Amino acid sequence: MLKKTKSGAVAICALALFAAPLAAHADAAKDLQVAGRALTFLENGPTGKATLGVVFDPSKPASVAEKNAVMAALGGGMSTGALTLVGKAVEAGDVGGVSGVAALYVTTGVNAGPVGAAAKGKKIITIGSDMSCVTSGACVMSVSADPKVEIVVSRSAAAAVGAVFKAAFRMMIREV
Amino acid sequence: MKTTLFAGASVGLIILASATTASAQSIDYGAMEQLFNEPVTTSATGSPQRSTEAPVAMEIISAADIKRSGATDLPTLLSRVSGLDVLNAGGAAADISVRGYDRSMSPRLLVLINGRQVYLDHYGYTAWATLPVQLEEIRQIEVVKGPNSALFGFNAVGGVVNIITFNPKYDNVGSVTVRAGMGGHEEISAVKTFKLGDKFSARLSAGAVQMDEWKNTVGVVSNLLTDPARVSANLDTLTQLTDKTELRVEGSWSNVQISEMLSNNTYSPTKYVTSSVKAAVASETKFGTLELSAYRNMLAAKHMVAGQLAKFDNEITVVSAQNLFKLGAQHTFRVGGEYRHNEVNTAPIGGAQIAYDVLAVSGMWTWAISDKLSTTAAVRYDKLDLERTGVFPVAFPMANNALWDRSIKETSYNLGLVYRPSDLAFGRPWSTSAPCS
Repeated sequence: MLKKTKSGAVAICALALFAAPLAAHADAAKDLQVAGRALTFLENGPTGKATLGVVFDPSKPASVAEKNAVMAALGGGMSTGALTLVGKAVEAGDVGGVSGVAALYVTTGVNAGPVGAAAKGKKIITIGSDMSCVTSGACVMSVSADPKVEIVVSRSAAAAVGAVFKAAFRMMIREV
Repeated sequence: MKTTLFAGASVGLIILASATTASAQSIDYGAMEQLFNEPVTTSATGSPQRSTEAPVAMEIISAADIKRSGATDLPTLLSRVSGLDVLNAGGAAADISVRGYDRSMSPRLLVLINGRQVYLDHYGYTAWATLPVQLEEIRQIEVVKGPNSALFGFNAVGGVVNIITFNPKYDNVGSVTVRAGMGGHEEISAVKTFKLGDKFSARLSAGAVQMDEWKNTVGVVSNLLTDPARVSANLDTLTQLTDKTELRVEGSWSNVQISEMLSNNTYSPTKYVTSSVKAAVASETKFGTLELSAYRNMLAAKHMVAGQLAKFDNEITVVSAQNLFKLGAQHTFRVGGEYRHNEVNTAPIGGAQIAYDVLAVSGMWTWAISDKLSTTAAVRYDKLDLERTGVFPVAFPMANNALWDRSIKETSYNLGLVYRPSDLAFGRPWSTSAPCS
């Protein structure tokens, strides 16, 4: 009986451990913390108060919802290490004319190609909420905090906007 | 080999006593830890890595762990690391080894402070009480459990303990600690970092501790015991020479008396005076992160061996250079070279000097095969030339300095494989290492 109980407990523990990641979900505030701290590892990167443009597609509810979540998380200013990030909502079609932003946060669902091209033209760093944005070369960086901090940088996109990350940082992230 | 401690001359001892170090870059451990939500280390491969991705079995004791531990010395802290064995022989005397084989004056575990060896070369062990570091100035202690000789040289055959202090360039710390406890424990220490302008920062620390030796319940002759005491100081400065080049200069001193257990399992009322000076220039260039460092350790040690005073003066000079760079998106390389000169007098029978020179070259390659799989290969080649100069006692057997002329060549390698089957937030990567030294 005791043996049975013990085996059951082990099985439940194992299930709980493997189920835990399934419960993990994207947390805008956590991802922004990682994004903000990652920006401080840029050569000549932003310091102090920096504006993060939050790019969204008004025709896509998921993108709008994510934009709202990100703007809410940033609030009046989010402290991320040496940076204080404030948000500025930017419609995808307006990226070509955007100014006064240190980086652009591209929400999921936005057509990353044209946004990335426009950002490269203006030499602005783009941070994709969706990993495909960076693997396609449209965005410079993608970050996620859960279940483990992952940072992916597109070498070609970084070169296109003139972004150079510090050497130690490059050795601890994934580059594509 | 070490059971006949200080028998005649210390030739055999000095052969054991060799090590080299791979200096850590001046990286912002605190910012990296906050970014990745885990400690980072350079003690695994010489390249900065997240602790969960290092291709070695290692544990990192953080400053928070130290604060919570209640420990007042390093051996107590390390005794709580799985796989480490700690033997306490007195109030301040301890020997530590990795995965067994611990003994008095235990060799094989290389101990470093910011990449500078504090392992004592005159006999090949670490006298933990001599370490010129206060617990309050330690950012983290990186414990590598297993051989890492391809990075650190052949003293690291059992493992490595790399003590990383707060970096005054990035960290702002200050504390005054006063402790008192049973057994006559009295201790005071102070640590302070400060900045002068934008380009110069420094960390200054000093401390003193004394305690009663353990009660003598086993009939040790009383003149072989002494109450442990230590005074130590440390200065660490960083100067930003250019935007991408920094100069770090460190100096340390400690004066210690201790009842320690010698390797022949007798007590000795030992006195140590250690001092060191180190300078390192690190620069980020388009060819990689270049680092050139040089340091000198000086030791005066007085042991009582079989009723005779054995006084050693040991001096080590180490000059090393390395370049760390990433090629493409997947390959990180480190190439390095090192020169070491080590000399010590013979004791308790004096009249001669034993010295050796080591030339070493090393390399490391990490290949991120995919986001789940990476491999690391490291190799190091050491060439040691030993010599003896001086006279011999009358009727001493083998009275010929030429007999000491030896050249030892050794290659070490470490191989590691890290596989991450998932992004689960718990657990550690599977890794393996096949060292040879």
